[in-house]
Amino acid sequence: MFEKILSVKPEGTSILIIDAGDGSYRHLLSSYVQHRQQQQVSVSWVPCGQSADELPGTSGSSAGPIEQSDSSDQDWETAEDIGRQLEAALPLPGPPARLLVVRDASRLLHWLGPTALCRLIRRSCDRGHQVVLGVLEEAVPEEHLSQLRHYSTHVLSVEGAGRELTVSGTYRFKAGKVETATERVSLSADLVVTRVEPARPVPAVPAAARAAPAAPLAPGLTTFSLQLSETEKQSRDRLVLPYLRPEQGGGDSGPGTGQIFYQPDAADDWDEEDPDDDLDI
Amino acid sequence: MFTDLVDLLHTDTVQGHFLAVTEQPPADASFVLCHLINRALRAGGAVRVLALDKPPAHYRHLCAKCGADVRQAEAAGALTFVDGAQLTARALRSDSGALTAGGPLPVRAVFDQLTGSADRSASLLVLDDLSALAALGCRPADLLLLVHNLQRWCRRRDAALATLTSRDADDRTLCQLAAAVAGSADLAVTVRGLSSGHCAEVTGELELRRPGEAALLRQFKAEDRNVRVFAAGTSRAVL
Repeated sequence: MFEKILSVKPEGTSILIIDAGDGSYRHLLSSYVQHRQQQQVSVSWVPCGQSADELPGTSGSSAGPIEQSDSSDQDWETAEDIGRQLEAALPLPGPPARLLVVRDASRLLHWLGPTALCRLIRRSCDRGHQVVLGVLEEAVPEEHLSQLRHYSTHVLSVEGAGRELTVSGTYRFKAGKVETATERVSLSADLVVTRVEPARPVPAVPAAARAAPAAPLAPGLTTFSLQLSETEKQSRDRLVLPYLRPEQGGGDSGPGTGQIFYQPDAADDWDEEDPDDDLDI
Repeated sequence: MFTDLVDLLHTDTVQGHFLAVTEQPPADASFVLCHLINRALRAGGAVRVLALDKPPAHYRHLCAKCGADVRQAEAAGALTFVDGAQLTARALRSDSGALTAGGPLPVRAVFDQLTGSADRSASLLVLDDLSALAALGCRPADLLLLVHNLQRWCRRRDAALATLTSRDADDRTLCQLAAAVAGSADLAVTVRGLSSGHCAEVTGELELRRPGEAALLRQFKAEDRNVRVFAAGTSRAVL
């Protein structure tokens, strides 16, 4: 399934990559961007705190006004400045289709709110471009994340460390089909996808492997007896439990034959009517 | 001194980097910041510390115990403490001098005090700690903006930035703040106690995480003038 989104036309779609806490989503995001760059797609990075030269693959991307924010003399950047940079990074409508990458949307969600990011996704997709966002699940409120999930075409949840990742994805395709899949994705040292295979479910413990009932202990191992003698077993079987009525036949009732007998006393307000009788359901 | 930490944090190559230190109560991560301060002073750099959660005397005492000549460094201007309590009181006073009740601490004031308009040679900025600023009413968005701008400032001057966040598991906002700050760091260090409780030979656990790499987990023992770091299960109590 992950290979499918690498092969289908990406224009007008968005991918949300959610990191479960290991920080490994960056490898997957960089791998996807690298894959698109190999397809001669222009990439625009939205820096979120790091400098432009720290962003991978910038040699093949076109620099926009947002990459030049570090060179300004302004020491203090406000959230409004960042919002303006985000607006400026939005590609113009028309071909060729571009890929807009938001590497760390966690802080943008705090600064600008989910509405601004959702608007960015929708406007980019309406203009025929693609947006890829990475977000740390622990760093943002769940309600913000759910809004992003709603607006994104594909949602990938990434777990694992290094280059062996477990990707749980919800994929929405243009025909309206929605598919979910959990896969193991392996990346090479240069972030190329080398293997994608379905994640194996945890096998259920077979009935035969479950622990057998404890065998009786060999006599003489302890100074006290843990087993019942035959006489004691017969006495136990003959015992009538005091809370069972005689007509029930003692303690050997099978499954499903238990009943509850309630004897109301003088203080009880016993009402035979159905308490839910007045409900109009 | 703190040789184990030097090997672990690779603190010789932190210029221009951002280290986010997170402590999970009841653990105390002051020793990590103290180590960074001492290393920067030994390297001949200038250090500015915003001491909000703990007073400057705490850091003076810790650094002096680890062999740094704090008085000389302060006299030479290599070590500057920004008293967070005084900064807070100044920022929250009205023009008449009375303390005002409303409004959070403006993070721009914190930024200006920490970066300093006249001192452009600082090689390490230490911010202790973000949780205290949150307790003073600063929103997570404002604190993340503060960290973002400090990162930009440090990157331009090839200086290092270290922040401390106290992560209370019961406070979801603080957890989100700590995760967002750690997610934007070049190195995230988490200091926490042992899940099994108190141990005489092991003080707590250190978790180091670089972006995209697997977390490195170690245990540590805090002594009077040193911190020993070792792999889990290799403390002196076991070996």
